[in-house]
Amino acid sequence: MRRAQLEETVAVAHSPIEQFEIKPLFQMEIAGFDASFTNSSLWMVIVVSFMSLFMVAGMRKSAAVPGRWQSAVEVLYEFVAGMIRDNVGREGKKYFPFIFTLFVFILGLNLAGMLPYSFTATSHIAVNFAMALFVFVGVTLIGFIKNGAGYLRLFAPSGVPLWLLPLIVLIEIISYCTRPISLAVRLFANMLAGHIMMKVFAGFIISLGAAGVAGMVGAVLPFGVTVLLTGLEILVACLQAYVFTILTCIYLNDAMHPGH
Amino acid sequence: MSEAHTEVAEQKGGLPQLNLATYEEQIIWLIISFAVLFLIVSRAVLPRVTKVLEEREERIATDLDTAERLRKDAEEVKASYEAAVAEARRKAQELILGAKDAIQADIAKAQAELDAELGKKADEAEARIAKAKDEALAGISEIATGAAVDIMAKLAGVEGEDAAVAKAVETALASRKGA
Repeated sequence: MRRAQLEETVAVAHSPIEQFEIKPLFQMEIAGFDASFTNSSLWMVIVVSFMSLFMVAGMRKSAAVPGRWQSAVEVLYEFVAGMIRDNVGREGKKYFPFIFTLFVFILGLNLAGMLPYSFTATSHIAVNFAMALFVFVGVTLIGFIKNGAGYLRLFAPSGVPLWLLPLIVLIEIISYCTRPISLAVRLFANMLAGHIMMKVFAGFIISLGAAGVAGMVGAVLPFGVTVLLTGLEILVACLQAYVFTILTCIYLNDAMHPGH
Repeated sequence: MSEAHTEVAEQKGGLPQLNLATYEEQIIWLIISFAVLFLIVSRAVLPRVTKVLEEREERIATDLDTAERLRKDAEEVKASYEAAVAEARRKAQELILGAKDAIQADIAKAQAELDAELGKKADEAEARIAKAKDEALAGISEIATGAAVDIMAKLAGVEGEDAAVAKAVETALASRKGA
């Protein structure tokens, strides 16, 4: 009986999806909506505070010859500015603040998820889909405002034989409409899979460690894997923030220049 | 173990990501935090970075301009310096040539003076020698006549034949001279 209880607590504590559980810290309402402050909200607030502090404090001197901290902020700026310059062009400058915020926000949330006992807000499809939908609606609106009905040219690439056109248009429309889904699911799936893998391998260490000396020796292997996975996940955290941002830039470019 | 897993999952309603009840609060806090970050980024961060980068670019451009200007100045200075050096060298060459000519003229003049002086002295000395020779030659006949008179008086006791002796000596000397 005691053994069964122990197994259950171990299972609960080490269930690989337990880390994604949203736990309300206190209840509150904003304009009639349920705006309970949860562990997800807490980490969003932490990330926003940290990133703001990092950037504002880094730029406090605004020195012509930057120190290390200021250089880090400038590198971040140049990185996103370069992404927009290369993928959207000059007209993209207007959307720089939004895209910069998007990158910093997702990067911060992804990296914060790598801290022990933290929560990865971007591992939730609701958050990712809300961002992806905002980008999708925004890009579509920009496309129609800039080009009017000419934006529909996006669905009919030039140089396609006439008999193939209906099929191509159909495919283009489907691919356009699935953009927010792929954008959201890509980030969600990467975060989810990575964190589950880490939890599973970390769980192996505990389970093997509980099984005596031989188990402890055997636990070295999952420990090594966990170390490697941690490095991989930090890479994925940065990469997925980059992917989300660069796809936003590419969609924005489509909205600016619809003819392929 | 697997049983425990399913039990837990069922109890919590599957993957927490699919729990629709949490969507509202997640999205509301996403909007709040994203909006706050957007405001801070667009108001406090990006303008400052843009300003710093622009100022730096401007400063670098100005510095490059200044460097270019200074380089041109330096080149001008170098060119004028080289011209001055060439001019000085040319003048020095002229001075050297002038001095050489003057010195050579001086030397020639001194040489000529010296030659003239030496020639004069040689002439004088020659004249003196000729005179002394003449004087010596004139004395010779007188002494020879005296000696011949004395010899004749002592050896032959002939006296008072001075004029004849002088004449004979004169003839002898002339024949010697002629020889």
